[in-house]
Amino acid sequence: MVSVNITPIAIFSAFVLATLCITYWSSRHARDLKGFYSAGSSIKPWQNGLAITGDYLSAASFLGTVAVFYSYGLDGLLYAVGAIAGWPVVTCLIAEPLRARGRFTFSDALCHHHSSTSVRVLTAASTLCICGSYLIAQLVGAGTLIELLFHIPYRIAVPAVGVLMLCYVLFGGMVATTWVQIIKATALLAVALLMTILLLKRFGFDLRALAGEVSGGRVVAPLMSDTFSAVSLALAFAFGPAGMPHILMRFFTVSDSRKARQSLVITTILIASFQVLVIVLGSGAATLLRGSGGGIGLSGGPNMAVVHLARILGGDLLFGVVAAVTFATIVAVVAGLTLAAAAAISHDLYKHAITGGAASERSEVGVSRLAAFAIGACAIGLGFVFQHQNVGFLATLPLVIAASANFPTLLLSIYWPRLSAAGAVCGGFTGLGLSVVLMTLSPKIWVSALGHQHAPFPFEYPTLFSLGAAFAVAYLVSITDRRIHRVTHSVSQEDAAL
Amino acid sequence: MTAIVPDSQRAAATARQLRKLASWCIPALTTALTVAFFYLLSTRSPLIVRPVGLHGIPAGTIAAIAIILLAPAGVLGYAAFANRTERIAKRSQR
Repeated sequence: MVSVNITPIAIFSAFVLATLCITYWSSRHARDLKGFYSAGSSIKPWQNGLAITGDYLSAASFLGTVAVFYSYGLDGLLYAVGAIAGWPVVTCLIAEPLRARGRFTFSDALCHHHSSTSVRVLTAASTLCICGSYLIAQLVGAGTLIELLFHIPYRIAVPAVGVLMLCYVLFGGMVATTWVQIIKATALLAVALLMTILLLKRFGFDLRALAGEVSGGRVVAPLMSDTFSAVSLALAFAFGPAGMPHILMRFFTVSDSRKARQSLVITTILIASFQVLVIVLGSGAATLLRGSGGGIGLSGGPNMAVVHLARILGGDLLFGVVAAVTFATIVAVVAGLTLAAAAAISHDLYKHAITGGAASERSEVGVSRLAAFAIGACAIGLGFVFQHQNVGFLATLPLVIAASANFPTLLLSIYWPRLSAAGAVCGGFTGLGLSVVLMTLSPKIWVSALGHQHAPFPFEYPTLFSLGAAFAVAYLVSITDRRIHRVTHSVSQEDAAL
Repeated sequence: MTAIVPDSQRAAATARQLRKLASWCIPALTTALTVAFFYLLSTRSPLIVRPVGLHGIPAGTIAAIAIILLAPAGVLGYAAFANRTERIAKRSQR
């Protein structure tokens, strides 16, 4: 049983106080549209690099990866390698052209060539699906964590996180969200580094002893039951970040493409460093918590392995620091997600799809704030519905949807001039629909969550199908669309000649 | 008739081509390595599971760290290409 510890409460209170002060300060910059959505494109590359790192490194990266090492040994490497796989794709292929074409959201870049209402509807739908599923995963994780660490009931913890997140977004906009991410990313990296040094010191810098339990003879069932799911998960990790709306939105907070590239170089270095630290921490958790140093009942389940490891390494003080930093991580990530989802509703749906671009800046910011409030309320409600769902699995859902729905259309719109608006819409909706439907029919949801006997879709992740289908449909519809245009064009030319 | 292209413009065009090549090759390499790693780990391949070296660390851990470090190395390489291309392009415009 974890006793009530004053240290995490004190550290977390300091974090909340500091971030609320920043929110108050940034509220002056969030009055107009550009300030609210993209911090006036005034963020420096190093700040943006840290903020993107903060956006990407959710609690699932820290708690989840170490938990997989603890439960499945070597399979923890899947999450450590996967977490970095997408960044070369984002940096080399997406960031610069996206920054050059877009304004506030990635759908601006998609509509650079095809100014179509259905493209806006597609991007808004995919953004809401991605941010919604991610938001629920984070809120469920936050509620469980608070319940365990502070003994605050789940029914109070989830609304409390929701209200805090809404404060950042409603009053501070992108400036506040960016600074919250910067503080959180710095704290998370510092804590991971400190824990790694303490862990290595405890083992006398003997890597054989540290890796003992992971490399030893303990036989566990693999995390991935089939190679199709493993390859699908790899593709989701590789292409998912390039379709995550809250990450893509950050490229517009810097002034030009060159600065977007510089931000991503910093992000990639920081995330890679963090993943190496996580491998060491995961190996340590598996060895210390399961091996001879064990005897510790893991209250809160495997997800709390890293928190228990902190207590072994640094006593109550480090335990408190890690608990507070993990909680801060969740709050910061949900704020970024809510802002991206609110932008999808106000900028893509309200301004472009509903009013046809005629809405004023003031009304757009108003709708964005209203949307953030509604999204927050819905997420809190769904947090109760999904209270007992597997958080780790929920956290991979948005990556699969982003890789299947947003990545193909974004990549084709940048590099294939023949992509038509119809092709982008059909391809995007195919990826979105297939990924959501097949994930629902997979054993993790259909059998484990919904309680059916057999899953109609036998694999855990559908990315191989949904991503391939999205590309194929976008290509086929575009070339067919062009042919129709060409036939129409030549017929009209013949008519004119006659 | 062949147009005379100044050296600086030819250098700028070559740099652009190299940058384009790097922008596709680096992500393709890291993605291919990730997919191969996931495949080998899911099949519990001896290539990944067996201990290597004096410390007896699993080969998979070494491979994972190598893939993780390859990503920032690739991105840094790409950034260097991109900076060089922009410098050459500016010089050729003068």
